[in-house]
Amino acid sequence: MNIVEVKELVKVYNGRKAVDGISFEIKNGEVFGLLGPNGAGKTTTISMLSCLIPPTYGNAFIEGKSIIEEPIEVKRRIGVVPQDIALYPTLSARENLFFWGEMYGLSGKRLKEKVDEVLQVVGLTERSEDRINKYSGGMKRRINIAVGLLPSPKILILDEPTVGVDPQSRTNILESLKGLNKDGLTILYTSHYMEEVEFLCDRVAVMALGKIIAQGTQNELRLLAGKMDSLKVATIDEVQLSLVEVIKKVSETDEVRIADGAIEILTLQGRKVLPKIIEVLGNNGVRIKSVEVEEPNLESLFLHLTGKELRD
Amino acid sequence: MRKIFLIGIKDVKIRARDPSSFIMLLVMPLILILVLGMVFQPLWTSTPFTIDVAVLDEDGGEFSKILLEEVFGSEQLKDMIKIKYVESKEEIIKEVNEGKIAAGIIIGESFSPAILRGEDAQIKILGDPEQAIKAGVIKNIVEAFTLEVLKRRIILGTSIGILVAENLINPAEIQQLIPVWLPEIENMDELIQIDKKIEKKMAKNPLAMEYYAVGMGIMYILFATNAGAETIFQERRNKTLERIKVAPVSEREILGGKLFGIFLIALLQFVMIVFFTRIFYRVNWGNSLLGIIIMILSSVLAFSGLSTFFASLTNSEEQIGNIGPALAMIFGFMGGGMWPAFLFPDWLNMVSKFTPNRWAIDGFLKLMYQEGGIISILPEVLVLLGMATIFFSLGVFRLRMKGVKVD
Repeated sequence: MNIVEVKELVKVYNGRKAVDGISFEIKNGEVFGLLGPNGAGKTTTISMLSCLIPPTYGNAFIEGKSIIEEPIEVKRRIGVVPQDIALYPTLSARENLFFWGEMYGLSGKRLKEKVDEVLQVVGLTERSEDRINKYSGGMKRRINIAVGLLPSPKILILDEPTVGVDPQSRTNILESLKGLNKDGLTILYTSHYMEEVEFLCDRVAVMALGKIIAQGTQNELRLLAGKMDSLKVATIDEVQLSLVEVIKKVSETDEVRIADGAIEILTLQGRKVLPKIIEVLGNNGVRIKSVEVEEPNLESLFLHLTGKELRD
Repeated sequence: MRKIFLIGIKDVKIRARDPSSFIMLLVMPLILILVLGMVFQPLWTSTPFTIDVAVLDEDGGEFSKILLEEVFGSEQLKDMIKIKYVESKEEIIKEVNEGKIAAGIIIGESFSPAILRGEDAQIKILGDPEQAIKAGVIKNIVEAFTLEVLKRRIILGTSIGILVAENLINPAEIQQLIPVWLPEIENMDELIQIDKKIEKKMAKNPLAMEYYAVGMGIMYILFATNAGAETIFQERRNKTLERIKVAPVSEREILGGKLFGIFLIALLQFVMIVFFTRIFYRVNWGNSLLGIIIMILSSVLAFSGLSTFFASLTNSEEQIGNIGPALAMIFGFMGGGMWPAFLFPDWLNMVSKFTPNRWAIDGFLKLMYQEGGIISILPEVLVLLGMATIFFSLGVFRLRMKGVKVD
């Protein structure tokens, strides 16, 4: 069942289309990623889905509620984590959470329980009485996410929530989100970090210049990229040319060459054939120095589709 | 309604935790009240309130007699103004320099004849800067007198002109008929109206500390409401406005909450100033607690409205931060925060009535120095509430037109 349905959404700013007729669906319980470089239209899309700005054309529905006709109903169903840290620096984390909880209509015992719960989810219960301006960037990000969880949303919308965060905090955040998804929370996640989307998302829509240029599961998108895995096996001993033919056979590919003391192989199933190649080399007395496997990813897909790097 | 309240309370909490706000909105006015109160105390107190004036009457004519005997010697002023006649200008200067008199009046030799001839007549006032308020009172009385004389001279000149032209009178007889045509000034009440106000205000020996507690306290309300108005833009800068807007909160609740915050910040600040000055500076804010509460609420409402309107005309907290203090000081001085408005020239006196400061100060002074109670402050309260309504309406209209934009 679809929890989000986006239909031909368009946003025009000063005659320029920031979002240009995008459509996608998000199924209940999945993590859906919006991947694209800065300026692709991800934040504008999320702003429209959050009822922060109205679309110029098109419509979107959250649990069947229109973002145009029923914005308050939509707002009751979503939790939003903006790209910027939207917290009051001189209030403590707990005070911030209480305030935002009250804005979502929570009060009394229920509010207190919910605040305790989200603090536990983001692992900051111990520091909850500290003011936000005493927090590190990563901790602020975690409280920023905790605010989004307060209304017990049907879908959590996150707009590049790890920007400017150290690697350890990023891993922490991503693990937390993965856990929340396991517990049944639907997530819409935008990022221009390919690794995050690959780690987190079941399905991905790739955006560029306001349009969705590809969408599907990660495997579907890899196939769309049409690229093969690249294996590079560096050897200590010289490889005889006769051995190349054997390797071609076990790799199920003709794309095998020897250069700079290494065998380079392009194949559709790199991980599957790698043990066989190692076995062949071992049987023929060739000692291995190192092995590199490079699989096609969303980065290469983006490059394939647009001719540009994701971070351009 | 609950969300409006919560947004307002949150703004107060944030402001209360900002040390610079604490200094600016509470410590500064209290220091200023203390300093001004102590420095200007000598200008305000004298028991009973009397003004010592030295007069050099080189004229001795009809008009100088009217000023000295009928105006200064009137029932209303004779106990307040103590005249000492001197023989030379040097003597006046010496007395002024020594601080023995608040003002000296030099009535020129041909003062009365010049008036009759329709020529420029000179009357000079020398004032002691250290007794500026008292000197100002004398200046106001003399100005009111000269205006009255001017008015009568125009009427007289026209009448004489007609009589001479019609050969009904011989020009040589004019001088003799002056006392007949210039009878005793009947409308003394009108002439010295301004001084009646002074008498009322001075009736209970005002202290500089008390005056500046009111004047500066009122002026600093505008600082507080401006600080509150800044939070509208801070909310935008911190991206928290965006976050409130994605929560199920209506735009009316957001705006209402922000305005409530402006009102609450100023209300708390002014109540603390009143409380602090009452306890530590012994300022007597009057005997009517209800009157004080009504004046506090109506004053804070008027300034909250003004700041809302001001915020609607600006585009950033920097603009409010840069222009706001200047605006507060201009309104403060024009509204009588530094000097009592009854010492202002007429035009400034009129202009000051367009500031909420003037009405707020007048209302509080009535509670402090007059016995009228709540009824006596009704005009001031109504004007302040009227200003609040107008400013709030304009401000809210403009802010809604702007849409409390987030991008």
